[in-house]
Amino acid sequence: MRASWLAAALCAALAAVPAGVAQGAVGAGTFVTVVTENPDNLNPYLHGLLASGSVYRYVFDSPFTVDWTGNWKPALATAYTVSPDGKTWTLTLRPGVRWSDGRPFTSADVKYTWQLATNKDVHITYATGFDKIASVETPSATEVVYHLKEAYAPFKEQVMGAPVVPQHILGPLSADQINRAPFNQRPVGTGPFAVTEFVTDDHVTLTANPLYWGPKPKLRQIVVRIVPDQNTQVNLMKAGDLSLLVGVPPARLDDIRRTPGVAIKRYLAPVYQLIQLDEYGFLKDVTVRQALDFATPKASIIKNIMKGQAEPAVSDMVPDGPWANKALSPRPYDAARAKAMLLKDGFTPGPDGVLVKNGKRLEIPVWTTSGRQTDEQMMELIAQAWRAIGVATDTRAVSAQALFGQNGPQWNGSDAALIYSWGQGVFPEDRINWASAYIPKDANSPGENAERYSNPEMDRLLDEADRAVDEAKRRAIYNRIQEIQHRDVPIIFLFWFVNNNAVAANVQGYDVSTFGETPPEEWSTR
Amino acid sequence: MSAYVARRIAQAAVLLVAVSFVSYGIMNAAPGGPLAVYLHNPQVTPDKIDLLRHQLGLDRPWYARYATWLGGLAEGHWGYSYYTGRPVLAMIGERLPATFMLMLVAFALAIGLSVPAGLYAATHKYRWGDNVLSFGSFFAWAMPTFWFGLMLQLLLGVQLRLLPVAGMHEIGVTSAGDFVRHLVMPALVLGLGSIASWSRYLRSSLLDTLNQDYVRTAHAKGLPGRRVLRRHVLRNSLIPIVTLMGLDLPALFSGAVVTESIFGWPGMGRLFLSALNNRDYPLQMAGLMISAALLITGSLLADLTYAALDPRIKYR
Repeated sequence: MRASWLAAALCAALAAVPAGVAQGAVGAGTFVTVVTENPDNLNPYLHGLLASGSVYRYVFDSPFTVDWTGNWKPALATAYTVSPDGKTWTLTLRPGVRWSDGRPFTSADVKYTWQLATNKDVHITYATGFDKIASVETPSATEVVYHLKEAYAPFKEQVMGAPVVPQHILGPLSADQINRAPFNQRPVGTGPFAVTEFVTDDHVTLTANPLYWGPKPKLRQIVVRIVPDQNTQVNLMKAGDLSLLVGVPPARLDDIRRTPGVAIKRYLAPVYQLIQLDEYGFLKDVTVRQALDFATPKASIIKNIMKGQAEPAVSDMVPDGPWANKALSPRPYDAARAKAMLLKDGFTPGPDGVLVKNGKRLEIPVWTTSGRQTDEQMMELIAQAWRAIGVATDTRAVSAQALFGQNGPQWNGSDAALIYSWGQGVFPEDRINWASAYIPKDANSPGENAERYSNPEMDRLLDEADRAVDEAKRRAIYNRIQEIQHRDVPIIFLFWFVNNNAVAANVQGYDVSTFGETPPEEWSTR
Repeated sequence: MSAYVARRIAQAAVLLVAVSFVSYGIMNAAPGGPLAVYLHNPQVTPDKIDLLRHQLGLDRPWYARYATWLGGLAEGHWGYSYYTGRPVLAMIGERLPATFMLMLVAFALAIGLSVPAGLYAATHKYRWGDNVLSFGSFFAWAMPTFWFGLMLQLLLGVQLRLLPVAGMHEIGVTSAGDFVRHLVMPALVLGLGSIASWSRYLRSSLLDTLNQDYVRTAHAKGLPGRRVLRRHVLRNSLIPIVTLMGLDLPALFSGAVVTESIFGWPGMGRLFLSALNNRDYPLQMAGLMISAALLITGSLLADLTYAALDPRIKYR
């Protein structure tokens, strides 16, 4: 019975291992949080995954930054000026700042960041705005002058709000070396924390940077654990192994609420749920799109499917942000009105109740990505509501690859409605969503205007908005852009997602809003 | 025997090349592609995507890329990950020990628990112990792994605080005891399916053997019961189980994908899963080749074990 001896020995060995005493207690001065994916690259200009941003945000600073109340404040720069024609931007840098390796931070680093972001041989993923720069001068170590090719109003958000990387480390490397540099796993920044350990697929440890230019961090270290399963993340929170869990899954929210010693922070995420209306046949008609908006029970979706974890959406600007057009309100659910609009538009009910115009049935299949239960429930609810006004719909949940891929519904040349969500920054830079130049030609050609919306007035306004350096003028243009979004219904805006972060009771100084979190140097754990 | 093994290895090499060709073709036929993740990112502009496509060589036809990949493999280069830009071999090297440790312990647990369970059930047929084991193994077999894993976490990790919920080490701790405590739940969950199925197969195989004439003869000539069971019954009943074990080797590897994700275990399975999600072709190919190699190795090992168990089997 050798096998059973082996079993007995194994069981005994397992039983003999002592239970830990430190279980479930995050020590004072340590802050533990979690991400779902292994950060692919900690160079802010080379990464592809969201998880990377959750780590490098502690490491890098930008000239200016948006604080958690939504206001701009100086960081690596102390002031800026812009010429009246909007083409010359001058930055004054903060003196005395050092990189975490001790080398001084200067205007050369800021200039190099532009060179890196526009280097065609490097696998750059994030460079919006940098391509508008014609040249950069550095008259002194604390002065940077950007000369733009044309006036570009979002320059502040896109370039002055972008992280600065060290010239002294990356500058001497070739493009190929940059793509594979150790820096991508162990970056050097000017921020409050520095990466001291990166165990792939397990955790990243960031230690307080003693050379940080701002207030001395109260924490000794931040540990970012890498755990792919969301339910496991919740279990870790419940076991007391985490200080912060960003984005508690709605299904586990009540469970977390009942856990003693855990507080919930609720805020609006800058992500909205939408129905993309692919404009091929009937969907080219504004009246049909408006009628579908009236026929979509948005309030019921928020209440019954999202369980209240969402807020109504009316345009692509987050409602509690500075750019939202407060004069607009969502179309109420009104099936009778929707049907009346379609009848007035020339549709007549066919023998099976489906509306017909010029001998063609009003057929709009509803699609969504599979795997997210709430999306599939929404799909069924919306299809049912549309059928009630005489639209023939069937529902299909498929993988994201199939939904957006070459053989997906967007490329078959017929009307389709796609339910999914879209992230939108707090600041307006939405040309690629609405400009006719961004209508994609095929699944491999980029361009976010997949709904194929085309409107010369919108194209003109988007161009003007890019040139409007004057803030009041720019605001007026974006108000108009939102009015047109609401009038023309290029997509149906469903709702903005509410996020819930779970925070352990021993954490102090942490808070969160749509715009971001309180500065990590202010966080502490007892 | 050694000629036989050499021939099998040569066949395996040909088979692996065929597997790689088919996998590469299927992978490239799937809609989307490595750049699909960027297509719906408002920050990534059209010319950036064209540039990335060219930089990664994705503007070449798939068979040309396959030829390059195979050529590289012959020279020992597994290529670079599209996402991290790091050598695939280095990325796998970092995670392989964690996965092999997990597989090894799960395999050992499966043998250690399924053999006694099968023996007990067969020798106590239709008694309550056998019924309990039958119920238990069907239940374990029917349960989804992720559910069992999460329930164990809630019970042992959150309620009883006996074992850590996830991870391989407590932060800043590297002791062996800490490692073993973290290993218990994932290894048990990974091995559970094998424990359930092997013990069932062993039970029925043992019941067949127990009715054989030579077993009665062994009892009749006065051999002690335990000796009959060990020398004559168990050994002869193991052949079907060994086949199963060989085939389960790659199943343990693919099972590790789920188990490692649930328990935050930093192994190959997770790497492979994210490679699949991101369409990171070089990494995906590495994962496919490893599991194909495991399947071939598993069946070769099973064939060789037959010979050890049954002297009548000879390979030439």
